[in-house]
Amino acid sequence: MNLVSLVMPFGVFVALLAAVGLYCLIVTRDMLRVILALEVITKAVTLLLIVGGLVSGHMALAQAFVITLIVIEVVVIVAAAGIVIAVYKHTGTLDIRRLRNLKG
Amino acid sequence: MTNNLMYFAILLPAVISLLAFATRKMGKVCAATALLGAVVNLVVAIKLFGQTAAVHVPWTSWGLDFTLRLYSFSGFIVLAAAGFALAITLYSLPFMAKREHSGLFYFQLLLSVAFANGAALADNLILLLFFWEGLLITLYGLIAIGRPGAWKSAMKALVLVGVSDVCMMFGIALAGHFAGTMQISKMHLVLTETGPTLAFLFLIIGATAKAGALPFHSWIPDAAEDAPLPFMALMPAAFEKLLGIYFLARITLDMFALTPGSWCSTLLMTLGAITILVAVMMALIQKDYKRLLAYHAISQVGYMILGIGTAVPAGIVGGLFHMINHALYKSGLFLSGGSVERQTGTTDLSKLGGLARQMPITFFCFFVTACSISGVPPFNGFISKELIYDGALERGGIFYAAALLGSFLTAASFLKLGHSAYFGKVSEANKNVKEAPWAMLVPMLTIAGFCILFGVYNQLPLHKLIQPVLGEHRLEGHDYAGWHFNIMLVVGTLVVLALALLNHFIGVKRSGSGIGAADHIHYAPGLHQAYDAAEKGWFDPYELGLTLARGVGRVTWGVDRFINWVSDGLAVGVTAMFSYLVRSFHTGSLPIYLWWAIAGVALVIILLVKVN
Repeated sequence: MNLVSLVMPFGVFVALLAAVGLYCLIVTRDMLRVILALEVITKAVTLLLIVGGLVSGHMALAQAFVITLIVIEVVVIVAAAGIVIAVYKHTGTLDIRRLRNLKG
Repeated sequence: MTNNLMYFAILLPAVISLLAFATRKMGKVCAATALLGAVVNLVVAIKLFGQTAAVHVPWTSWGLDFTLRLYSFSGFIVLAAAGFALAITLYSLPFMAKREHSGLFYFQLLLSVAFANGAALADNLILLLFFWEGLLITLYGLIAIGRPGAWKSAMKALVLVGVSDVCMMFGIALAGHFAGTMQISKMHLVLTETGPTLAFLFLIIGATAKAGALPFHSWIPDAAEDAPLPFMALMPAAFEKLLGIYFLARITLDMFALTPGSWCSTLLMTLGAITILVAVMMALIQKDYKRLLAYHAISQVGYMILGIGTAVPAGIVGGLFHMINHALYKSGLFLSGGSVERQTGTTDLSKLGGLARQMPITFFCFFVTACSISGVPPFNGFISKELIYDGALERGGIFYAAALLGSFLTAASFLKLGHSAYFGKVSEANKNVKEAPWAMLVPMLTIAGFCILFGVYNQLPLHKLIQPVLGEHRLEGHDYAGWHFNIMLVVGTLVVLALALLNHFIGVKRSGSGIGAADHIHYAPGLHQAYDAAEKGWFDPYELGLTLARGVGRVTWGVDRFINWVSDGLAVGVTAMFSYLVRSFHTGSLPIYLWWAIAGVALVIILLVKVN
């Protein structure tokens, strides 16, 4: 009972978190911040999965998804961080606007 | 025995032709093989002549049986073809000796003999068609081995004769359908119904076109210039006339009962009369020995068609007699032209002259055959023309008048030809010209001899060859042999010949030379323009067909280009325009894509809310 009453505030929090992540993604030009923004959005999605499991009553299923998501998230972050390091070594800057030499 | 001989008549020349093909690189061996083939063929033909036999071998169903029939008419055609084949082979020995492709020439000559024998003996329409088309192949081949570039004329002949043969094929299908059988001797169709009449008309196109009548004639003058000359004496002058008129006679006598007074008969006579006049008018203005003869080969077919078209006994006998006479004198004329070509190197009349003294025997042969074609008594052409006049007069004065006018122009053009080639001054280049070798003179003299024999003693061909074809019941008790003609017709012919001579002298006096003897007719007001148009090929069905084909080609090319433009131009253009528009959205900037995505999600949410 208690938990169900928490669904609404949790939902609002998830929406805010996603909005913060998106905002960060739109305005930033730093590649590290892009990674951080992705991280924030992914956290919002993780929370949303938990809320969804709570609403539908399939908490075990939600748990499995959350664990899978965390694993994928780690892989994405590692790969993205690797790319960022390589780009930095190559260009000497983290500014994403400098990565335009492949534009058609 | 006779049945086997019929197979031999077809197979022996074919087999020996293959031998000739195998030895084609060995000049004299090949020529000897060809001569052997022609002799063997003549022996077989003589043995066949006068006998009656039939072979019937069921082959496939649908009326296609292997049926041969030997009777007076087919035996006569086979004999005549064999005689000409031998004469022309003998003539070719010196004529073709130093030429390229002489081996191929002998090969195709013998093959033509085999096909001609087959076509004459065949009693099944489809079998006949097989041999008939075989002759078309050798026709193409024989023209194509002429001088360089002759394949154009060969192609013209192939297309024109091929088109007429397609008509004949259609006629055969119709005739077989309406008669219920493909066997010629069992067909008895009447010309009162539409279907059989249609079949008759299509068959007539095939038969007359083979013989060289208008409008499928225009390859002959071109072939005369390009093909080796013995070919002209063999095919257009002899084989094609024999077979074309043979088939025409079988159509009108056996398959269909053509009656005097029917419109089909009138149509045939009109075709004949037009062929006579148009071709002889063209012949009159020619300035080349061979081309002039070629136009006469067309014109004389008109007499045969006119004679057979009358459907009265005198006309048919005259037409058939004219067929064999024409084969004789036209071969003789072409062979004389060949002698002149071989000895002087040219057939251009403006470069010839005075050959009568240098080549007296050739001139003698030319003289006999030219008198024969002009219808001078007592040569053979006179007899057959009188019989045709007799038949034509029975059916209408206008046809008689046309035939008589044709005679006048024929005589005029041969006076011109003889005058310019054999009289007048000898040109510088021809000072040392000698008589042709004996192997060329013997066939010419033989043919000239037959021209005289068939005229003076016309009982021989008429009793032995021509009248048995019609049979007693069709002759109605008449006997056309001998010298008892309608005195009015003879007087008419003689007056016309005298007029031609007078016309010639007027022409020579006006132009001052033999070659210009017809100039006053050529450049007469009215005729002049018609001649110019004809020389440009405006009346040539092949040229007209080519023009038409080019027009159709141009239109279809346009359609093809349009479709190509739709697929390669229009579609590509529209795609390019669209992608040019869309390209401005793709900046590569993540924030802008995100804004698009947010806007899209917002739109979906709004829509979902609205729907609910």
